[in-house]
Amino acid sequence: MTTQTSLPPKKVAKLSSRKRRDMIFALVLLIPAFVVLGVTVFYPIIDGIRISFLDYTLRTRLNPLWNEFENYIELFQDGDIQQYFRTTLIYVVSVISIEFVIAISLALMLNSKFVPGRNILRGLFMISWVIPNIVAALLWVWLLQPQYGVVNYFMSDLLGIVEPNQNWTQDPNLAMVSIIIATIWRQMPLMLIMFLAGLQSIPDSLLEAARIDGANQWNLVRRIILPLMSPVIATTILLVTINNFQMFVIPWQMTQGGLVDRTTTLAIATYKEAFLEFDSGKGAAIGVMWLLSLVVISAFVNWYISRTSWRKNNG
Amino acid sequence: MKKQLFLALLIILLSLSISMVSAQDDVVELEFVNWIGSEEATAEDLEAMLAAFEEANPDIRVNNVPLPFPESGNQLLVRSLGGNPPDISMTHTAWVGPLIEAGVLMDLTDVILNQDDYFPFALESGIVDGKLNYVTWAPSPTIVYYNINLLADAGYDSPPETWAEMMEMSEAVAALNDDTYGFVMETASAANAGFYFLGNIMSYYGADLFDEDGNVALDSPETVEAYTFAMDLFDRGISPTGNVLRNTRELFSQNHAAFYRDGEYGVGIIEALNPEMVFGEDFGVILLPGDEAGVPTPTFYIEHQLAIYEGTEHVEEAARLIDFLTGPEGIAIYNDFGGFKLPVRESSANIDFYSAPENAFMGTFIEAMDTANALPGEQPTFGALMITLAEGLQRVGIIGEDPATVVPELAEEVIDILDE
Repeated sequence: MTTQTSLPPKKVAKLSSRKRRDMIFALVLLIPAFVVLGVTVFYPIIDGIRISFLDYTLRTRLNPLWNEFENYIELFQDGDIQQYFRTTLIYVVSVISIEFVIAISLALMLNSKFVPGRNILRGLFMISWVIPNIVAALLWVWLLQPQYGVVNYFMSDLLGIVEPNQNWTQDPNLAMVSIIIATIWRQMPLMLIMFLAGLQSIPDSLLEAARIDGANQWNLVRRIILPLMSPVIATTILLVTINNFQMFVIPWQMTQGGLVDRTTTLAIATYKEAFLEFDSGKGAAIGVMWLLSLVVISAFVNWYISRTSWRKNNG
Repeated sequence: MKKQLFLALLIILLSLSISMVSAQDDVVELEFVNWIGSEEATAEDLEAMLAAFEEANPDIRVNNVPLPFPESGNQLLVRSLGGNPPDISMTHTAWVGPLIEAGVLMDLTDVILNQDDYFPFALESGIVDGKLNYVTWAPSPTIVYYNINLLADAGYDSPPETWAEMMEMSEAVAALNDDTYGFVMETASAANAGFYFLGNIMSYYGADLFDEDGNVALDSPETVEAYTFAMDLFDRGISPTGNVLRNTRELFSQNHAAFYRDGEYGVGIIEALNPEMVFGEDFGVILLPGDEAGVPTPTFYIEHQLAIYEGTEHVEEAARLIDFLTGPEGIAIYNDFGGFKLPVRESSANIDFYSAPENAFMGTFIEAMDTANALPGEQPTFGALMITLAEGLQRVGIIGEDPATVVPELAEEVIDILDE
């Protein structure tokens, strides 16, 4: 037997008007946040998109004219944007993939109860994360300095595996490698701490049951740990991807986009166009392409995350 | 009674504060943006100069706004374009171009006081299309620093008198061991690597960025020769590649480089980097040698400049500050603190500092100004142009491309940058 209850029409009207009032109150409370976001985020983005279609230099800034997609046409015709995009991708993919392998290995190690002093080690691994990017970049410039750098002291003077006075940041093949190493060193603790948190959320009983069923360590990682951690991994990769797509300080401080543009990422290209060549229109066009690629990549990673969660929820 | 006393006190206090406010109204506040106030080596100099100025001009108070040098150009440009310029600022050859292009600097033609006292170059380098955008405060001609210790190790007891001698000594020093270099050049993607190459090496070979009519003249056999010289220097290990000026100074101060080029401030920097290096005993300075002894290669100079901004309400006061800073009193204070600044005015050149025996080395810098050329700093894209020249050095010196192929491509890039 079911009991049907219904509120009298007067009460329904009262409730809905209170709901409306609450809604209005909530919106009023949100207005300052929207205003701040609008002024600091949405307006600059929209203005940046507008400028990307204009001939906007120091000389023309007071009367910038629509230049018929010239900024975009030039970028594609010169092949510049493709090169900057390729360089950015090489940088981001290298950083993320190497960082992933190191961070997951360290996280598994630090999560093991058999590693002595793991709490101290966790603290030590976090040190580079608290150092600002600019300091990390300067530190690596000094470490890699050809004549006095510690890296050359070990690798050349002691081990003899590189040429004397090897110039890491000004070598066509090593400039990008140097930046990637510095970035991984600076950012790896973020991935490590996220993975550690993910590992700690996996119930011991599950791993124990798998061990009883005969799973070895590799199978545990492949069949249980990694699948259960996939949402954490995907979220972390999304964060690190966005972070590195935006990265300016470390590459700029270490190579200024050299050697001959070989480390010029989208971030550096935007800066160079806008603040060295003072062509804000073209700089904004690179910025728009940069924004679009970031949106596409973020959307892809988000789609991947939701697909993984859907699969998990649906067996 | 109490009430009356209270009222009387109130009236006195009110009249006192009104008189203080009106007294403050008589004092004009000048906002002076500069980078020397942000640097440890010169902050004290500036404070002393401003204190002396305020003492001599009690109707002016200077609001000292220091900015780090690397950020100064862009910050000044952005705030000026945003309608909030300072009254007066220091500017620099490397980044004054965009400020000129944006039209935010005031025409100083009829503003600068005591114009007859200035050396011509100080009022000429800031003229673009008939408008005087800035005055030179301190010019820094670049000359050659030589390492007495290393030359002695290589068997030389006096500095070179000609370009050929300098190269011969460079080769001998570089041959001493793997860690010593001769004539060191910079190749990093930085503007100064470009303008040191332009102002010294290209100058020696008779090459230039622009011809007399202002057309791009980079694509020339002389430029190819200059890049070939650089390539040879790197290939033979006489100069390392990848240096920024800071690395070069370190190499020199640690007795690893025989020659490098710097302004007058280099003396203090080298002594600070290695207190065991003493000017006159361990290192010295010479003019950039030429093919004949006694005929130096024309070098270049960079400038610390002073500019007043469009829209300031305190033009006359700003002009008085410029007059003080460039005048004998200001420059004497600057030099007393170890600033080693060259004079831009006749009256400033007569201060005791320049005739003191311990400052005799300043004579070499003053002499260099006779033939030194100004850099094309008025170009809004000066920084990008200089980085293009530096990238040319990277291409020939590190990647190993042929200078004859690289130079025409660089010239095209320069034209592209100027077109934009």
